[in-house]
Amino acid sequence: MVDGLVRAIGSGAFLADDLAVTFGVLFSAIWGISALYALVTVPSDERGRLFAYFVPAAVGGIGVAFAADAVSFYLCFALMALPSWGLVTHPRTAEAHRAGTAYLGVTVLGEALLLAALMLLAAEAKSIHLAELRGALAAAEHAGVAFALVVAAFGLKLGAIGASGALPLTYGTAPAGAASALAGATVKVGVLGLLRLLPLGEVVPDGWGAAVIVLGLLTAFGAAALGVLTTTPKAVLGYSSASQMGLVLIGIGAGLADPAAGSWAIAAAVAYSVHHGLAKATLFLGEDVVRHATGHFRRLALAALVLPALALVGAPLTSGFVAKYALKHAVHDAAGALPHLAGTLLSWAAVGTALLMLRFFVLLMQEPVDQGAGTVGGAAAPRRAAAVLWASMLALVAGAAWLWPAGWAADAAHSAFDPTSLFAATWPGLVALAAALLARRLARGAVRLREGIVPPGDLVAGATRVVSAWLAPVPAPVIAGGRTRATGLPRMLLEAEGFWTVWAVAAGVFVVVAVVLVLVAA
Amino acid sequence: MTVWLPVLLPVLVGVTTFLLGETRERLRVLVNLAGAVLSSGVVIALVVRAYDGAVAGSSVEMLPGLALSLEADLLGLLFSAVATVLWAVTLVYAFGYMAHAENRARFFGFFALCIASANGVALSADLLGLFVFYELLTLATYPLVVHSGTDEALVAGRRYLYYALSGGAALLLGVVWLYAIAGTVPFTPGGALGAVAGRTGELRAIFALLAGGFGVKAALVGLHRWLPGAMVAPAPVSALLHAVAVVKAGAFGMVRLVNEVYGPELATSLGVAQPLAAIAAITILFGSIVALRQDDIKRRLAYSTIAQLSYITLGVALCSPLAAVGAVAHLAHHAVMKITMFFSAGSLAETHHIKRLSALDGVGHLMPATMASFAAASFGLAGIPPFAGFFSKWPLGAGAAESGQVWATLLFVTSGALAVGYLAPFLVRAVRPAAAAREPGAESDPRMLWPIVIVGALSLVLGLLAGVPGSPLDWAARAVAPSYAGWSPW
Repeated sequence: MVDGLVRAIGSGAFLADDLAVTFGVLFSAIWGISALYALVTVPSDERGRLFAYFVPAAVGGIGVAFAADAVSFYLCFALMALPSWGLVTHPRTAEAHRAGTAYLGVTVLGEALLLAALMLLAAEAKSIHLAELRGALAAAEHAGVAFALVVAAFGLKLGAIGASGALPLTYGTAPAGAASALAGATVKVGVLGLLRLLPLGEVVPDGWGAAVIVLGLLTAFGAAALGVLTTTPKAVLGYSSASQMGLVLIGIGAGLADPAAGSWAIAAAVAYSVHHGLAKATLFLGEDVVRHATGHFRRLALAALVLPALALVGAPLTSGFVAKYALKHAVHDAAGALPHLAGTLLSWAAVGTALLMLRFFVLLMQEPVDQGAGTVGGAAAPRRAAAVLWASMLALVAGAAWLWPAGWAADAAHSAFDPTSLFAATWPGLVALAAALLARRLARGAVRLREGIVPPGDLVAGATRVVSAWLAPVPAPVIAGGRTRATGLPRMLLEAEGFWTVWAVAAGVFVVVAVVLVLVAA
Repeated sequence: MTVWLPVLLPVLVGVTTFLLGETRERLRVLVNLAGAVLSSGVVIALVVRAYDGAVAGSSVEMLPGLALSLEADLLGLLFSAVATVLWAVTLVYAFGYMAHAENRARFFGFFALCIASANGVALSADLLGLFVFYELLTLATYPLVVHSGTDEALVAGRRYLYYALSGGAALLLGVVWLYAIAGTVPFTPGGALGAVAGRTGELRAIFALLAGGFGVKAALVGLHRWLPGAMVAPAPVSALLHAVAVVKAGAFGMVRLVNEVYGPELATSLGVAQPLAAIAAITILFGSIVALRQDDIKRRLAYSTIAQLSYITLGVALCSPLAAVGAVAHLAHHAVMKITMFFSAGSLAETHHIKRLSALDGVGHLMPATMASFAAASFGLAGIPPFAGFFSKWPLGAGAAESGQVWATLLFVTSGALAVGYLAPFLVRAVRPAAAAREPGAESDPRMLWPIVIVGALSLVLGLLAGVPGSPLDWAARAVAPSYAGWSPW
């Protein structure tokens, strides 16, 4: 048997198919504008330190779009994800350090799961090309394990429920230019990974589609609920990202549940990546612009921020509307009760998104003006450059719906003028607005009471605290006599083998050897 | 006769070093470096020949009926090349590290003898020769472990001796027993025991003895305790123990035992490979988890070694060709990565008296080149591409999956995540601002710095070149393939 795997892993392959080009352009745009934004807003004495991490992360984050095999994909994924730790911890505060630790933990866990998935599939496919790995998944000997590994690995990146807290935690401390890249680009690598490895449009074992749809629904609604209860604008945006990625999971689940829905599922996942990537990056940059602006310009900036927020809600003629068009097709084309249930719930998910956006604006308007940090020498020029960069992102968001390359995008745009879909796209926002106003009017005290019960990072932050406490190095082992002050299992293991250090054992063994030697000789 | 040179040249260097005495330092440096470079040249020449398919062999009769045979096959040469080339690097480092130490003649003399023994272990053509050199390695290492002569060192040294000699005794028993039932057993890819395969009970017991013997140096859990203790030795000795020769001799013995004495098929059908795999798996978890909580830098690294060595043992015990390739490649990859770490630890301790993880804050600004090399080795050990460790972890994990042992694949990735857990704190603290202001750019003596940079760079280069013929991965594939009839990596 010729096993090509040894040879294959020595080289990495890249390709430029449709998926690669779409994601490559998206990632390049977001990383590029974010880099410029960071360049003009981060104080000059901190730039070197930030870009030492930013540049490798950007190279990996863009390269991953073009990766064609397991090695190049994993390489780019790691090159993007690990240096991003330096973006999260950039402010060097205790909070940033904790966030960095949590980020690293989630990232390393995700990479381990991804590596295991890639190894399993490569062993099955006898190849490392992603296309062949995808082909081998459904029929693999350990298909269920491999599928679970793929979904878990990328689910962690997407902020699926349970890991949603990682997103607000991560974005909370990173400088705006870095946060926009993390939220706009790196999260979408999870979508890319799922599209590369899940055989959408092919027959897969029963239950896979349902599992992903359920995960998507839980994420879409769960993250929205968590997000409404947090207390900083960036944390709200982080939970909103997780919630939106829940929608992507629903679409992908529909594609798995029924091969007929496969192509719409892919279209929806790509459309959501582009739309959400641009809109979320714009929101993060805008948050920073607003916080540093005063007076008239601040009001103008807040007004302009409404555009990406409306896009996320899926208002007509925005990129979000186009993306939702594809997603609706995917869930409607998939046969079965669950996809249809998900289809009816989609509009309610939009209510959740709208609530998140309202919450974001409320919190943002309460933010004090930040005049000191971020400006170089007190000059206004760098801030103007930042505003221009942000405006270019806004233009991309506004244009995204019209510059869409896919053929169906024109149909989507037309359907915006159809009364039924116009209503379908508008009512969730109005319901959310009404609910928010009602809550403000009638139950202000109750809302106050509950806000902040979710600390940014929820489960992830809690788990990080517990693990970090355990990992704190054991202080000063006592060397004399070679006794180590260990506890629990390590202690038992250490002490159980203490008897080996007794001369008698060695001597005894030699006696036995001698006897045996004599016996053998005789 | 060329095949004897990797053993005889270091012996010659060692003896000359003893004779030169303590005072003639220049000559000692010259002899040692020349010997190391010459030996490396010989090994490389042998490798080139072996790549062409010509295996040099030679036999010397010690007693009537007891011959000491050497054979320069690719598997043995891989270990031999690791030991010899890293010897040259370690020498340079040690010249700097030991610049003000006492008893340097004794130190460098025994160091050379260790390398000679390691090369003997690597190139022995049968179990008997391997056993002889394995014991010589123990004896030659002892003076190095206790070099400082402190009580702590003497305790550690004694413990090392107890463990190693007990292991040697088990090994001897196994070898003699095997000879009694099967005669001389030359290492044969795929196994040499076909004729006596029916004596299952005895073969199982012998396997346990041999694996137990190798398991001491390969630091299987329960037999590992000498290794963290031996961290009191000077840094070049730690490098020798952890990377160059000693623990690798145990792991190498495991590879010979499973692949070329019993053979993967017999090892599986006897049911001896699976328990060995289980013990190795437990060792990986044990070492990784204990390492997570160590504050002492060398101790943390020592537990990491315990875990990483069992990658090799587990890799061969899985009896999957691809996993075995990963195991053998890891022998070289781990050596390069771990030597970087111990060199760095030695530099931190010698130059800045930093021995604890908690004292590392801001050290990245202090010693940028050292910590960059350390980072490269860490990424490698954690299995992140394109660093070397990835290119052994991938075949290990994929090989485990290929043979249907998914649990082992999951174990390898878990261990990779744990490796980030015990290595990341070094890097995180190194880039953190120091509590007290530190003068930047205080690197070590260039004789210590350059070896660190070179082996650190190798951690990356061996990975980048993994697809090139002659890389450890390619080499390992060629060395392992004959043990699996019908399996070919190209």
